[in-house]
Amino acid sequence: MERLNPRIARMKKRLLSAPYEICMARALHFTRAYRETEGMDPNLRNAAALKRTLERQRVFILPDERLAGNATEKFLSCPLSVERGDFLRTLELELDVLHLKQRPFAISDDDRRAFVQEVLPYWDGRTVRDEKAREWERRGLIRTAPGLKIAVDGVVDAARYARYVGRTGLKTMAGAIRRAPLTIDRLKTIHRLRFELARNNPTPAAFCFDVQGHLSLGVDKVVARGMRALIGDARKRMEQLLPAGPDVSGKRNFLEAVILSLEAAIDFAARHADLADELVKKETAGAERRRLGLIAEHLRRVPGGRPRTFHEALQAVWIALVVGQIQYGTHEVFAVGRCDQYLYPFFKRDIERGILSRAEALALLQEFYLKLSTSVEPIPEVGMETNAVLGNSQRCVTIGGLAPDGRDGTNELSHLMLEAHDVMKGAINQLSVRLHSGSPPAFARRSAEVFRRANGIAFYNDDVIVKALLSDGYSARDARDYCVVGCIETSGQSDTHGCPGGHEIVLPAVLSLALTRGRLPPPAPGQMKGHDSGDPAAWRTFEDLAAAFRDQLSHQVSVLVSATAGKDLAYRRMLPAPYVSALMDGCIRSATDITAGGAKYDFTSIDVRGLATHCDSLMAIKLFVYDRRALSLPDLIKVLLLNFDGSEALRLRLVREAPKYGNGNAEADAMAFSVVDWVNAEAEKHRNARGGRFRVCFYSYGNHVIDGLMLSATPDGRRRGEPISNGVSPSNLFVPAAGPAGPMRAVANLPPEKVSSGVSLNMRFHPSFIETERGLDTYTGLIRTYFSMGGMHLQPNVVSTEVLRDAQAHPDRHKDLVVKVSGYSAYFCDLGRSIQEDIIARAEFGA
Amino acid sequence: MNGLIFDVSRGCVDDGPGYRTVVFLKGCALDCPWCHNPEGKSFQPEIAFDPAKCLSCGACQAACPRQRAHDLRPPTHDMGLGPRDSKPPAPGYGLRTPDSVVSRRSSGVSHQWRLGCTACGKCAVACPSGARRLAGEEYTVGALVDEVTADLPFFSGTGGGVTFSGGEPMARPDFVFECAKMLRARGIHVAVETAGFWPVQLVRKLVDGVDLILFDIKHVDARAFRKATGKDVSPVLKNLETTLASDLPVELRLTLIPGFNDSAADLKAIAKFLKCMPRMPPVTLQPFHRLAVSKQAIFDCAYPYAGARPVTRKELGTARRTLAREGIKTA
Repeated sequence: MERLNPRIARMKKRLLSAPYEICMARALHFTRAYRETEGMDPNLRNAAALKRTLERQRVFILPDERLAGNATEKFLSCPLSVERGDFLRTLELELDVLHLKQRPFAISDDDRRAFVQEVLPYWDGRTVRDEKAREWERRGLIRTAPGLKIAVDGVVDAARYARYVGRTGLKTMAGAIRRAPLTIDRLKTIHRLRFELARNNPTPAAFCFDVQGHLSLGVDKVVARGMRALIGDARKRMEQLLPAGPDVSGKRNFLEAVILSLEAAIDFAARHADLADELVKKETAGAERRRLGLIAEHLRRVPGGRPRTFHEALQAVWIALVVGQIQYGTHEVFAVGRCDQYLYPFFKRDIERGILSRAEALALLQEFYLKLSTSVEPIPEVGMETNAVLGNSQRCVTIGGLAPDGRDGTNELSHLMLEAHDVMKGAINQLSVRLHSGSPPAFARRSAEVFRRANGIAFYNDDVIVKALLSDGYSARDARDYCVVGCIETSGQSDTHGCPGGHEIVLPAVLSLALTRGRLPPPAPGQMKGHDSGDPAAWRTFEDLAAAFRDQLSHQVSVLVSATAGKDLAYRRMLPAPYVSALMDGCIRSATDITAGGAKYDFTSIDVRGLATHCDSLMAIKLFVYDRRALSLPDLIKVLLLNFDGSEALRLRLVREAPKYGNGNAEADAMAFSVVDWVNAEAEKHRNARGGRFRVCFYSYGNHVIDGLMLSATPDGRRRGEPISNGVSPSNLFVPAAGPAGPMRAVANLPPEKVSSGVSLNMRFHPSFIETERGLDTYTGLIRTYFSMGGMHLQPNVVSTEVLRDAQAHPDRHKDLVVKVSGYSAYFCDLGRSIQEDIIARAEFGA
Repeated sequence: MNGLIFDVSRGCVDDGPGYRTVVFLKGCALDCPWCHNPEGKSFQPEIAFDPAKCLSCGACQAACPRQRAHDLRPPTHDMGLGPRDSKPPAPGYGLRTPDSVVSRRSSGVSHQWRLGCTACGKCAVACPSGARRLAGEEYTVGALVDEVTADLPFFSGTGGGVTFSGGEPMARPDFVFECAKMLRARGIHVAVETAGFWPVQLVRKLVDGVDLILFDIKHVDARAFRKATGKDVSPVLKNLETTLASDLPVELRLTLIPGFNDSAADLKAIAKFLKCMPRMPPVTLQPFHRLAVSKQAIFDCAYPYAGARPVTRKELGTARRTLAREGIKTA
């Protein structure tokens, strides 16, 4: 194996040792631009704000860099999207305690002042979040704030809620606040923000965050055609607009915003070129002059024009992505798609012409990977428990798989991108490997081999996924050209506004609501009273219970759908995305922004969590209450609410004797199939605000840990506060006696067309599993068998418990240890403690 | 025809090629003190009891026909008198020999209830926490074959199959051969992991009946072998030779045991013997580990190697080099 290039090693070290910072530049420029453009068309306002930021934000080029461009004025920060509201509120709450966070953030006095004096006051009431809340209030999803009635109810709710969540839950949720001095100002802030929970969770079982994004940004178009060609498309489209057509001014404004945004991006690149030219003047060393000269040359050419070389193409991708980050802001989650496909022609030509060596290409790819990871998010402390901060915006890279024409698309660059990942011992961004029955065996084996040194790869099964996408209405070519977005979400490449993240249902919480007539979990301040789905004492058979659960589920899904519509409308009115739309198939043609349904394919996903915990709970109830009649359902519910206090023997029986999903039990696996079917049937009933379908996915990033914190004991034997199961993985409560085949069989059994938005199966293997050549063959065979049986996705972690424990004790020694969480991958030491524990608790195969 | 099985372990990768299910048969004639599966020695079922998991709920006591299941009084010396109803050739293990009385005291967790326990398994069924478990269940050939066939796609996808281990699987040759016949008829690869101590007449049937033999070499020196295992080494060596004279795939396993076969002289003797064999299959060198320490308390058994230090990487490397100098390549 090749050694890590010293230049890359320095850059990796810089990334892993840099302080996390807050940068206010974008927030300030956006605030000022929006203040100046009140009353204008939302597309034009957004383009003006982007233009202002791209013109004025300080640009810099760091030592060693050969790909230039940064989304903020700091090395490791993120462009704060204050106009959305979520991070505005987080920052407001934690402004005085940023240095006390588990992963501290630095903020300069100037930035703090600007935030308090200029940013906060302007956005109060004007964010997407505020509009979303108003929309939810109008729809009767949450209670109207403020007012005396809700203030009183708020206190009552808060007290009930605190009792329910318990001390551990509260302490964890309080996070930094617990350690920080409680000043009058902070108390005021906390009081002011007490309804914020209800603005994410319309019910205790449903989440609807302020996020959109989560899509494949059309950087492939920037590489293939250049932005000036897209500007040309927009101009031509503008000329074709009929003066009497519907909403012609809106369309004209959108196209104008597209042109403005793309031109601003080209000028932004040119500013880097100017800077490089200036730096060259001061530089005497030949190598440095060449490096800077090349940056200048590239950024004058791209992203406006079509790139000429591999290096230039990578630069075009990167700068287009940086502008996307700035336009969309924090947690944009833009995938970069199938790099090995759209960059291959450049790679091949450069190699043939002899102007690029393999080693140079490898180093460029590694630099690109590092760049993709260079972002941090000041996520709230409760999120910290379950999330990574560094590289949280998952910029997925997809390699391998079918070409649009149906032939195998794996090429030399796919192998090189694997190698780049390998030599770096894993990078934080997702490397998604597509395999199909005709994939070259060497490629499958090589990607398995990379796990000897590096985690952070996930495998996707084209044979199943392409079929699922066809059933979603994709054309065959587009379906074969899918890429992975965010964590595990399968989406068309730069043609889909799929909204796969942020609309979530927690199955065990739905079950808890069904078992308690909608009383528990209790409503948080601002939430409505729960839905009563019947009295458990009256359920004579398991089918009665299942029917009540489906009734509760139906209610929760319709609330979520309505909440999502509220959010989508808020986005359309306040925060369209003309730059992102410019790179999206369909938007220029329809002269419509993605938020208004302009993309070629439009969906919303409902992300469902806790499948295994839920199925195991149903199986336990079925066995103990209805089959054996060992105890009555009300008695079991009482035991659950007491958190099994004094009933440890019963708890262990529930864990050990009830059939478990993912453990080779056909009945439990069939239960999961039914549950997926029920959820999908509910999703099918609805359409999103743009007319698109709802798709279902099962992944949990780290939030299954938070769900667990807020949920009482469950019938599968899980205690209060413990995490629920992640993705479609089996529960952590037991070690599958069925071996790795157990979870694989269970997941392969799920109907792919009903989870077409993606599932995530996490499995942890001991390194000894793949230590030998024979082990590696077995491991590769295992993945291919699982895929041949119909599995969609697998993300293995190959790391031993001992190493993870050691990393907890000595984070300094394991700074670059990468693990898969549930969808995304992260540096283990950057993760919160709770999620670290969850990863360690997962069954370890082959130990 | 039944086999007494104390574990079926799925998803193994160290016991033959591919994805494997390992079937552990109970009972072994050899009494190796370092054995990491001491529950595999006796030919009788036993109750495993893990005090760490016990809730003291009393469910086992209520279920026990003798009402003694949870009798946790400290052991006394006269306890060692009553031998458990186990047939030979069960070696000195459990509460049988004066040696084990000593070891019981050293491990400190012995229980009155083991006296006269017939391992009926009722307490294990009653136990909610899994502290009590029945080690040793009777399987018919059909039941076992059906159970392991569930993983057929994984076997064929990885070139894996079923490995019979133990204990000593060849102490139940009829059961193993019958299972192997049915498994192979379903296209499943079958391996047998053996220490070689069985009647020489069986070798023909073994060679014809399975796809791979994993042969465990402990030592070639008769005195050392007898001292450790209590048995004669010559049938082992004879069986090894005849097996290697066939054209069946064989893999050799050599576990490095401190103080038994890890000296240069021991290794040279082993190498010298191996070189005289009809052919030289691949040798896997494994280090001794102490995983059985926890089983002392669970099976109430003596484990003389509890205090032995594990083999270091360095020692493993040295042994590897010693063997290599003698012309034996190891994996």
